[in-house]
Amino acid sequence: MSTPSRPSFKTRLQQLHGASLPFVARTFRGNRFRRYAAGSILLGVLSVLMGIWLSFGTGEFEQDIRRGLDLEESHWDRDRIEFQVTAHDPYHYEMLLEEQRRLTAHGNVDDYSQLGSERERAYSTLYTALSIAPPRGQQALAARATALLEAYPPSRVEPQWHYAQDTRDWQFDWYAPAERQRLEAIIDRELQPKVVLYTSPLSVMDSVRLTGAVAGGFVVLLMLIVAPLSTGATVAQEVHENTLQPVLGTRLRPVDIVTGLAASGLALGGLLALPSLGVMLVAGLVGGYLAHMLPLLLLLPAATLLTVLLTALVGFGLGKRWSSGIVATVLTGVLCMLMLFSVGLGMNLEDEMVGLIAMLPPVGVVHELRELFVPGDNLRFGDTQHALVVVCVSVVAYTALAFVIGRALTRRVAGRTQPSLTRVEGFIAAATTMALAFAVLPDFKNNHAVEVYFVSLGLACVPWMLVLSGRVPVGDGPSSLRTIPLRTIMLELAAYVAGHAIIVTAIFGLGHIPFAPMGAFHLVWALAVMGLLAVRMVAVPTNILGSLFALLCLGAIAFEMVSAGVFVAAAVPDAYYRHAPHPFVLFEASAVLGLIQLALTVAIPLLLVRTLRKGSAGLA
Amino acid sequence: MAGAIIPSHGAFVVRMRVELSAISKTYDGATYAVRDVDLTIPSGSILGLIGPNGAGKSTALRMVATVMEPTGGTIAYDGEVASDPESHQRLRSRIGFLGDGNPLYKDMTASEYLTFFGQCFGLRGAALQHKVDDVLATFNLGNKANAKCKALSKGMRQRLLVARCLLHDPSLLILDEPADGLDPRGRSDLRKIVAQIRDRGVTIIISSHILRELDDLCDQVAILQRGSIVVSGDVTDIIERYEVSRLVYELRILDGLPRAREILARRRVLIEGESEADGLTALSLQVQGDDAAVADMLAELCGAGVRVVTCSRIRSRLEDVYNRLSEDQVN
Repeated sequence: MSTPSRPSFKTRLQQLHGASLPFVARTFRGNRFRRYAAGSILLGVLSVLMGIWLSFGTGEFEQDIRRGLDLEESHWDRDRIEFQVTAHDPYHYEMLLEEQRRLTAHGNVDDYSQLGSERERAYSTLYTALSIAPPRGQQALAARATALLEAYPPSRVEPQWHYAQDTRDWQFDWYAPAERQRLEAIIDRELQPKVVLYTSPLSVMDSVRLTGAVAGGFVVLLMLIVAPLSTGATVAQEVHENTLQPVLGTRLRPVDIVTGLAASGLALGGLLALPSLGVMLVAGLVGGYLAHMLPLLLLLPAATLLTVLLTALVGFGLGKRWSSGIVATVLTGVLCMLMLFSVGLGMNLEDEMVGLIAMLPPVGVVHELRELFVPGDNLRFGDTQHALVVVCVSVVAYTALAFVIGRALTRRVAGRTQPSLTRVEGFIAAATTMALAFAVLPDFKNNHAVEVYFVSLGLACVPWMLVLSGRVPVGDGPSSLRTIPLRTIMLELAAYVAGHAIIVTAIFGLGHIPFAPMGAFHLVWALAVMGLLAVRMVAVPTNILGSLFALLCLGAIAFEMVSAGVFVAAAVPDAYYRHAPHPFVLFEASAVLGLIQLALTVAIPLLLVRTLRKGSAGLA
Repeated sequence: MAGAIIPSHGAFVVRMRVELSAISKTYDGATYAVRDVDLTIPSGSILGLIGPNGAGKSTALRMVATVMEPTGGTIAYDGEVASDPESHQRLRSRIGFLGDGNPLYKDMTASEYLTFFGQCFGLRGAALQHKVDDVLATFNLGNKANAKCKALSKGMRQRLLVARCLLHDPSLLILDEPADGLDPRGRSDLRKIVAQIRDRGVTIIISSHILRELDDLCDQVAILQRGSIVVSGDVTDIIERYEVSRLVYELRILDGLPRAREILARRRVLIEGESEADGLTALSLQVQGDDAAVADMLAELCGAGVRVVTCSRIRSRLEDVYNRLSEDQVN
């Protein structure tokens, strides 16, 4: 028997082109290409203009943005240190200059003048500084301050200088450089505050970086919201209006159709993002912190591909019931919420949260974008290295997951009776999500093995349920004619769990997780029910009652996992809390609750197996 | 669409013979949409698949078009059984399939719609454009090339859907209720088109529950009821097998009714019904024999002074076969 030869790279490229062309051409049909291209150029120009505006603009908004990005200190602080008053517009500036002239000519202005107040505060600083013994190295400065104070007795600084409101003016720290700098400025200017017209402190290079960050922001939004949204809504529309049926009757294979649909969304996002991407790359090369350029350029495509295929899968599932408009609205809400959440986290990623890069794709992208252009100071050097490692793990993991999701979607589009995932694909997905679960944990080597074991297992369980449900044969045929390979699926779950345990053992060594029989019982129960529930969700049709039962099962799984953790933690030799609870912990609350727990422990697996047996041709 | 021609640009149509063996399909595991269907469709023939709504016609056609997997049985194309996705893929380059439901991309123009499907069939560049223009002209949609699909009439949409199936010069054309929604003129044009496609050697499977659509068009017929084939084969053979030698006509006469009754009774013509319409007497007649018997009957009536205004066939032989076989009335 001859085995078919693997297609060459050139053949694969031709297949990719053949698959993508109809869908991409459809997206850009008519004058859409010109419209989108014009829009993309507009966005590119806008990113440059916004970058320049945010860099050099003198308005409050621009200042707030710059201060939020730690590019500029507060002008109040600067005014205080440099003993000056900043005017934000020419009118205010002229007014202050007039005040300054009057102050110089007459010694004071009026009770409510800005410069007068500043001079009073300065006098307070001067007075307070001299009321504290200066350190040895600051004697000269203290002498100059004394001379100034003598030259300006309180009567010359009317009215009522002691009403100065800022409590800082009544405190002075000779050891604080900023305080000494203020004192020097006060002495140099002989209690006459300087008047300055506000200008942005950013340099041209800062402006280049900020422009790159703005352009990068556009690219991230377009690739992680617009491209997935377009793909998800298109797939939902195709499914809802049954327009995939004629396409399936053409020369295109299901994998070509999935490729084409994903390519159409990516092409739309890519075209819109192209000029902004150019601006981002140029700015990154000119002024960015290049160590973060490569991670960003690897992470962004991987996160985009994963998000696009994930939304395509969601669109395929939801499109069967809901119109594309509803699906698009749902996807928009979810993607925007995810992006807002990710921007909040990614812009201010702190030591303990570095692992979140692995859990939410946009977090890492936003973090790397910031690090490329306007690095924050939240992370220590070691955490920055940790973040880079998590980014690398995420790139590989997202790519692997995108591949697996693409394969699953292809099989669903084909509509044949078969599992969405092969065994190998299931293992790849399970191992990948396991790796991501470990990556989420912050600095896990310093944590206890029991914590790492249960937290990482808990994180991995949700994707594992999806993987297991992908191993159940589905299709356009009836579920009552399908045999469910339950034993195989449960064995695969056991393999995932065993693999996870081996990794934890490899990290911490043997003996770090004590054996607690009741803990093992609850854990095995929770994992077994999780596997049965995953199979049940897709193997047989469900109704409202079935959905409620599934929710009850999910709650029971979470409860039993926590129970297992409590039993195992109590068995740790040096545990702070070594009280082993009742085997069914709800008995500790009340006998009735304990009996309910006991009854559910028996009933839930039996009911799940019974449902699977009744709804299928049999269990194998 | 009168006088339409079939696309012929470099089209070398390879004939295709299709054999269905014990094909079954069930959606719920309990009832079968199609059950144990055995059917042979000779290459270059037109098979009419007849059956009431819900008989399983669409399911059977989707399985033949390789877009649905049979629960049981095999389908052979030119003797080769296609059971794996790869062979299905190869076959689809030779099959044009118009399914039921007629989904269209409403926001695309007719030209864009055809271009999209041409690209899905691997056509590119000038050849694709030429083909699109060709089928648009063939189906009299040239002036609607830039009209959005949602703006087309139902008949135009149906023509566009059929046109899409012919872009890649298929060897097997499967049309599921193609006349659905077409006006009489459109149906007549569709018959002409189908006949011309057949003349090029394309094997055609066409389903309908309107039997007059298929009369005189098909050379093979299969009657499907409750998912099973009741009868199938050559149309002439079936008509002979079921002794459907009578034709049903409507005769309208101005006067001479008593004389006409005498002549018809003598010639053993059964009068099924008698009514008045537009001041004329309309007789519904079952005539035993072929067209010559009808011609002789008319000549005798006219010779006897019966003033005949019109004589038209009102029911096909296929309909008679079907009525004899089925419990349900069709159309």
